[in-house]
Amino acid sequence: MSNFNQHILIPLVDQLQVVNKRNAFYIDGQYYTYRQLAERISSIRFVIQTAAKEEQIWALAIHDDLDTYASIFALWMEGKAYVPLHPNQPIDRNLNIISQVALHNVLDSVNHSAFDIPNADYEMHYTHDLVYKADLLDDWKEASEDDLAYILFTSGSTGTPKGVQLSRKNIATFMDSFWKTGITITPEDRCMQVFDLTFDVSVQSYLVALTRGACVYTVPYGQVKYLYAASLIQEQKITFGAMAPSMLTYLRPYFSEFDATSMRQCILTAEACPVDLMEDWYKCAPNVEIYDFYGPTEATIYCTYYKLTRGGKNLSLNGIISIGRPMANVQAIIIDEDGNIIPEKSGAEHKGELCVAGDQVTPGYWKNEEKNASSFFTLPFRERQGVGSIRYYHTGDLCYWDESGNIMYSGRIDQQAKIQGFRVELGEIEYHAREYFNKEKRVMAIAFQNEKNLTEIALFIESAELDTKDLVTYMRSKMPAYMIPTRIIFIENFPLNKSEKVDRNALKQMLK
Amino acid sequence: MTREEIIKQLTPIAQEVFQKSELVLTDNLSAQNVDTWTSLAFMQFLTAIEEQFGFKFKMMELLKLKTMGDILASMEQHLA
Repeated sequence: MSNFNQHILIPLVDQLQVVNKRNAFYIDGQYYTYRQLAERISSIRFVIQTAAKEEQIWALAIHDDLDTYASIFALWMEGKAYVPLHPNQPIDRNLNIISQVALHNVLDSVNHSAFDIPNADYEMHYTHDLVYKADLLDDWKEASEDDLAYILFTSGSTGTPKGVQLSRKNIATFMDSFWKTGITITPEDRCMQVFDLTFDVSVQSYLVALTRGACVYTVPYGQVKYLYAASLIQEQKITFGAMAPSMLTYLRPYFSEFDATSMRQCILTAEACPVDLMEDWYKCAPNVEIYDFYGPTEATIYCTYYKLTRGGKNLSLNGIISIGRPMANVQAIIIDEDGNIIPEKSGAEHKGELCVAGDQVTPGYWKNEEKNASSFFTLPFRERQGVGSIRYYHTGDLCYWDESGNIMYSGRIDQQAKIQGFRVELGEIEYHAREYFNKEKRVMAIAFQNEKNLTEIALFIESAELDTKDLVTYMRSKMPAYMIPTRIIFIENFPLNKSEKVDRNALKQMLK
Repeated sequence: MTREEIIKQLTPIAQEVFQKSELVLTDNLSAQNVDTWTSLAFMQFLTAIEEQFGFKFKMMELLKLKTMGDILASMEQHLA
């Protein structure tokens, strides 16, 4: 069984104590050593220990700075979990998360926190002025493998973000699966971390580097991510990194001038991965090994992967690379509409919903019985000792088993879209737009591919044309920037399908 | 082309791409203070500039374009 201390805290502390002069981070042009990271972790642990309210789950205001990363490890060493809150996201959304989890402690690294508001029902803990007194890198507070490590809130179709709980066991199991893919990181590696800390690929990005003594190069918030990442790759000679394919799509017009020869291993994730984009990427990065990783947050970062072959034939469907096979600790099945398991290697004729099981699968959504009842199911299995059951998560992804035993991704079975890697429930956008119109107008959010093959969201409103300025301002106060529709279209009467429902496909056709 | 002429032609493009009808182009505008200055919008902005003004940015130039002031300075050079 995988163990959190064995996979995360022990290797991290080994690095903190052994390679302490080596760089742990490169943040906004500044290097920080493992020694500096050790001192910040130690200082922050003292603050956590002296909090008035002893709570297992803490809110963490996320910034691109050393203290934010140190806070994560300090909380884990104290046996606690973090809920990342992005100060640039609407305050209403963040307060909703604080209230859902009933958080009583907020850690923040800046001078004046966006969360430091009068009469708040939680205590603010600032880390910026903490003075290092002594090392506190051992004596970890005892914690169960079932205790939580973090809760990530994702878009919810009911208009309220939903919290995905990840336990210490989930993350330890993920790390074990990750190292079994064959990816290797050494202290010589320069690893890129481009993801927002509210997004789980960030966890992979900092953990694999720091548990191997490598340096993490971050992309500061408030930068155009793909350009900053490109400058890191080229100027800092990045050797490893996970990216969303859309980042490379943005850079593609400049590939002929892009030198990524330092790249040794590269993960593409969070979005469908186009095969032709990868063929061009190989030319910029002549030494790279490319992996396409797939996974919902509910199964801890990634659960399947496909290793591409340079110059070889890579398995694809409609130009999109296969999501490959399950990672070492993941069991995957594909079920048809009646819940029957589709045999492996059945081919494209037998599509169904991908479901995954194993110790990477979340214990469930935070205080959301209805969603927990609909998203997980158990199936019996037989073993030598008797009969047991295995719990699966419905991914909502339509897939099939290729004849070679790889999984091919074929779209969503529900109304979820990926924007720059972020999960977006179109229902949440529709909810807020309807609220703006006091539920007096029908609205439809549609995800579509633009001419550059990037996903955008259009909002259709059943109405004569109106000024949209106030609507957009309202939506901005409720949802993160990536969820705001880039096109708003008015139609007097929505087209209906044969079942008298609004015809999403007809609306989508109007975007072409 | 003078800086004033560039700003005059660039303003409606920026207003449309960044979805801000009253946006005034000043040197300090950036992803830090324009909430709609996303990766997607920025790429659309660059593409629109290249199409409208008939030149191509180089990769190394792009990496240095952090603010509207940087963009205007780069355009001035291309259009001199």
